[in-house]
Amino acid sequence: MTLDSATFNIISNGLHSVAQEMGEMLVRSAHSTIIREARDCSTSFLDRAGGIVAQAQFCPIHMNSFGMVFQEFNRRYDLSTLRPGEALITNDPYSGAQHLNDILIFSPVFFKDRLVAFSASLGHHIDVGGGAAGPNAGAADIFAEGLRIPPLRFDVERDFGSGMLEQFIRFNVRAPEQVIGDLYAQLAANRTGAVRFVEMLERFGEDAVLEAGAAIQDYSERLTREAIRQIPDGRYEAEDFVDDNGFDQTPLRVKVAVTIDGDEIEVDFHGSADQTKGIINCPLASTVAAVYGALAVVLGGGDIPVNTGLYRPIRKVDVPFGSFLNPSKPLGVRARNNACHRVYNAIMRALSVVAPDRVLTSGHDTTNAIGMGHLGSDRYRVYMEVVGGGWGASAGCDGADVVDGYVGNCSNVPVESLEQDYPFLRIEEYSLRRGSAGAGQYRGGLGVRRVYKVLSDDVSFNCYSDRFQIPPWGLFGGSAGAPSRFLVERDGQEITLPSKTNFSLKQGDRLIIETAGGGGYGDPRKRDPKHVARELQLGLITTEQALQHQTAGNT
Amino acid sequence: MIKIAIETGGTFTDLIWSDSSGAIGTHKVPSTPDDPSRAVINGIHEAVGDRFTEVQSVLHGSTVATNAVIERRGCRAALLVTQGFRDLLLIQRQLRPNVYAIECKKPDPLVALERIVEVRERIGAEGDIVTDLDIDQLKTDIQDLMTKEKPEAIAVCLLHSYRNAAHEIAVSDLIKSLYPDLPVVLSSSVLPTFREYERMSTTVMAAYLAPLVGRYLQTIERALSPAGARLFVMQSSGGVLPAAGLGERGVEMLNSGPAAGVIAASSVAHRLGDEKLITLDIGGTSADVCLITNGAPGVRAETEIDGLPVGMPTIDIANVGAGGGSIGWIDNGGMLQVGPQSAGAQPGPACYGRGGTQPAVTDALVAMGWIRPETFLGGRMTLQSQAASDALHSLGDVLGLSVNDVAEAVIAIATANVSRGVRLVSVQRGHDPKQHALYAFGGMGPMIAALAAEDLGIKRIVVPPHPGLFSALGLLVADIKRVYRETALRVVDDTSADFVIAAFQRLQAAAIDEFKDYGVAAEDIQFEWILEMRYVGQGFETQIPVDPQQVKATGAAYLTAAFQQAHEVTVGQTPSNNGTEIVTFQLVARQPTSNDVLKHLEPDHDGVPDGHSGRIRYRGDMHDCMFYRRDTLPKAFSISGCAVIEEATSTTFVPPGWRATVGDLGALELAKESQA
Repeated sequence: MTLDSATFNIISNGLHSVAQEMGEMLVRSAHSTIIREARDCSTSFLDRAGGIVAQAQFCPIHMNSFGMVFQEFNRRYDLSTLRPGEALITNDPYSGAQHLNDILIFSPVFFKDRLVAFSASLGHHIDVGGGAAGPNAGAADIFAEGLRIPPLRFDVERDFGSGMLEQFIRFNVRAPEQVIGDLYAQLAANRTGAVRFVEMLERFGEDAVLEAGAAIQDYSERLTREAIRQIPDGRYEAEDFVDDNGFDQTPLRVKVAVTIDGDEIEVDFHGSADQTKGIINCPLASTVAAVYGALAVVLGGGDIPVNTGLYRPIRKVDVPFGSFLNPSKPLGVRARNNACHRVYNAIMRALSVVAPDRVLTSGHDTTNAIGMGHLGSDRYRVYMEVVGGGWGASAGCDGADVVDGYVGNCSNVPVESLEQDYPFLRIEEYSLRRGSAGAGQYRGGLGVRRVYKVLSDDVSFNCYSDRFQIPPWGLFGGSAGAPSRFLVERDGQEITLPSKTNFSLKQGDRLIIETAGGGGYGDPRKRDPKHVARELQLGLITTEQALQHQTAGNT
Repeated sequence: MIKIAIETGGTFTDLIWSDSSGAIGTHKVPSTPDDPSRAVINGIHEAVGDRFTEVQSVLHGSTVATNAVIERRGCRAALLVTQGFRDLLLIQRQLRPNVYAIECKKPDPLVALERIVEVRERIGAEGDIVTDLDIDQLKTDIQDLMTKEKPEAIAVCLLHSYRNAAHEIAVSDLIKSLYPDLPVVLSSSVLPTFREYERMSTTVMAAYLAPLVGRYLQTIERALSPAGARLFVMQSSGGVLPAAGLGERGVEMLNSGPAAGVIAASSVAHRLGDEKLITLDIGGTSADVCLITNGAPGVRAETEIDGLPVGMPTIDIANVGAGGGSIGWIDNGGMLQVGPQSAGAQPGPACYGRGGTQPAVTDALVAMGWIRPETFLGGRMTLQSQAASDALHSLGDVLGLSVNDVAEAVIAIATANVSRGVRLVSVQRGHDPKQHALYAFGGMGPMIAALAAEDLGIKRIVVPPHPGLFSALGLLVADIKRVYRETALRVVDDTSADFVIAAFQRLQAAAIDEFKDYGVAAEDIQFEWILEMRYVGQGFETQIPVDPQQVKATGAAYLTAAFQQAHEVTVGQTPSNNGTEIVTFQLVARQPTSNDVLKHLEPDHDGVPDGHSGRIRYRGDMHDCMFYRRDTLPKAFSISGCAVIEEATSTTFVPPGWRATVGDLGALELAKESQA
């Protein structure tokens, strides 16, 4: 490294600030609740070759896939001919993107008339058309999931506003004000990134910044290799399951073999379930992003900057084509996060035998995507929220209560905001789901209970979730958390809903969402009895759970 | 008649006072963290001696509220919530602080679940009553709570109470009838704005602090009563308020320390004619940075303390972990880092000779020769330069750098961290730092200011008099000020000018009422109207100061235009066909304070500058350097860098290429010379 240590520190912190500021700009200027309140979006800054230099701390599943989409653009277009004012856009899962709601925009960054970098943002859009106002659980293929935007090179001034691209999108989504407003917010975020990056080039010189950009990746790579060396060489296998595909009751296997070889890793998914109908297939980009995300937790634990350097020691991710982790066109993929979470879970389980203090038990580990739509007399209102559950426990820490799963970090939507924006709903209860955590020396996190009172007829409920059948597992003697369940109370009757469904709600219905608790870690009898007594008294754990903690001498 | 300002810091309690003749005095006493009021009361007596009975007003900035939250030393508070929402303080916003961390912990709430009780009632989003308040059940539940948990204060936060406070008021009336002495804090009076978790967190914090802040202020007021002096307390919004009755609004005192320095700077800047400035207050552990345009610092609607949101108007100050005590260290990947860990006052930087072995920024400054061991803090403490070198040496060994090179690297990184703070409040808010003067104070601000200015392209620096006591000075010149807010949630196009005017008149009436209790007549109050606005559908608001006359004249069209202009500056263009919305009416009420005291800061001598020549290191080379005692510099005295200007509470570094001049009010004005 020819850069002196002070300059390296200063530039690398500067680059990280660029990505973070882009993310804050996106949230602050967004129009939909899903981005502005729930922060379902991500930003990233890439070098000219598509290497990720810095990304903001938002949703891991987004952040690790910017590189793959970039490579698809690179195959289709001669990116060296991009001109200022142009940008790249896509949401196509079969071109490296995630699912159709996630629209990515890349803006080229120019310095002295030369292309030097890309600023990029991903927003989860509240609606992209398709068969339901929210997840379309019955979709037979991707066309039923919504508008598919191919990898397009476009001119912002020409094609937005009254231009073809904006108008085309505007006419094909249920909530055009939110969607278009959020696309502008993405462009604003990208613009901010470009301006800040050029300022850095002016301040430090192009060579120094590009060298620091490369050096940050080397830095992450060095730390990652060191962490891999701490784990004994060997091939470690495990599996976990997605409950079902929404049509029949067959669980779908995610089978993983993680090979540690010195300071490198290979991950192999042979033996995983075949692709299937419905929306639970997981495009290759998402599967690979989940592998990267899981290894970032196990190897880095938040201390290694997550960029391309962290991925380099991952020599190979082998995902058989035709499996549900690498499906063929044109299968539906909306609920790919279920499989992504199982990729995390299977990797954690595989490595738990050799790195017990680097892994987590299964938490609720699902994206509980809760959507509702209502066509009012004035306009369509589309509600979408990611409801959290219990987090996994680990070698020194209880699982947190009520957080999003691994692949995201969406916040809840304030009840007072939601009830203003969606007059067809009222929240009657939002509480910890008592008794849902798996017992252990460290207990899993508690899930949540959220009860919606429906105030109008013809409200469509559209959701996907998981962990209804196969509960979150514990490790080393810890017990499983309670599985999730969704119910509708109608006229004194309880209707049990499946985890992936579209259902028509009526005025007066109570929709009850109860999410899973995390699995426990370690022998429950080793838990501090003070915690047991207090949590029992508060009703957070049940009497049966408390009994699990008893030892012969401690009753 | 004497007016005295007291600022309590972690190590010292600073006092500055003035009397009607214009005389100014300063004093410093060690803080008494176990009971901060002791240092305050003793400090006043020591500072003014037998003129105690002349003290008419005491202005106080205190970290008592902030520390009570951070150290969890507030009272045993209870919380009443709408049925179904008992766990909200634990659920929070469902966010994980670090998405790649294995362990995930949310901040600890201030009220334990045992003391959170549900109230059977419900108000809808439009303020409509969905479920009547069940007062009988409530009575039983409260009596039960009081018996079992014996809370010392009660917070009440019911859903949508910003729209309709009737249930909260009824709950309060009931509690007061049962337990007249128990402090009750209502969310509808503390923070009548939507987003329930943030409002609940703020209300709970107010209740949590109420008894402690109340007792603290009463202790000081009692001690002042023989003089008949009135006590005023600094608020995070940058104004002062009379202490009487402030107990239940302890949240408004959070983060008030940095606010006082900003107020002092804006007052000095007004005298010196600087309209655009950035304040830089650097102490031992961190740097506080604030942008001031047109004489007024930005105020934001919320802040955070120890991970807990507080929805109180707070001067928009960015804080970065860079100070004199910030430690240089090498992370796992071999990257040199500086801060945010600080050596603090104990053990302090290695050169303090109190056992610290890790190199801090101050050690690097000693190694470079910018701080002379024998004149530090006016000579009250002799630094050990060998200890500084030893600490830097061990750090340099790991990196293969000499002591000098590692010292330069530590200073460069600390400076870059400071510059990042400046960029945060300027560039990121759409302002160009080059067009601003940098006002540097605190013990370490004047040392780093020119380095940061080089980095940022800033060409003018002002080091005000008494930079180490500057927050205390801010208390002397702060206005009596309070911010009033009311949720509106109205689309601008559907809102008549009359509606807006009526809302502000309501708030003004409340202000006039309250200021009457402060002894301020209605005609002496100045009002500012601010609208918190957004595009329909956005989640965050931009604050738009509006002119009442123009509201009356052109109404909605004026409001929309004013919003679009401000939004364009901070966020950039957005599709505008979604309409514009007024989220909150905000009224600032103030009684301005005279800042005449500032003119008495001028040096009143024309003596001979006390200077010594020496050599220092700067950017890899040795330079000749003059060292001066600031209190010997006459007005208009001027010198080119390299120079170091020393005083009892701070040190100013003038690098090559800069010229320092003693200007009006005795301020040191540093100007960038043409390319040196």
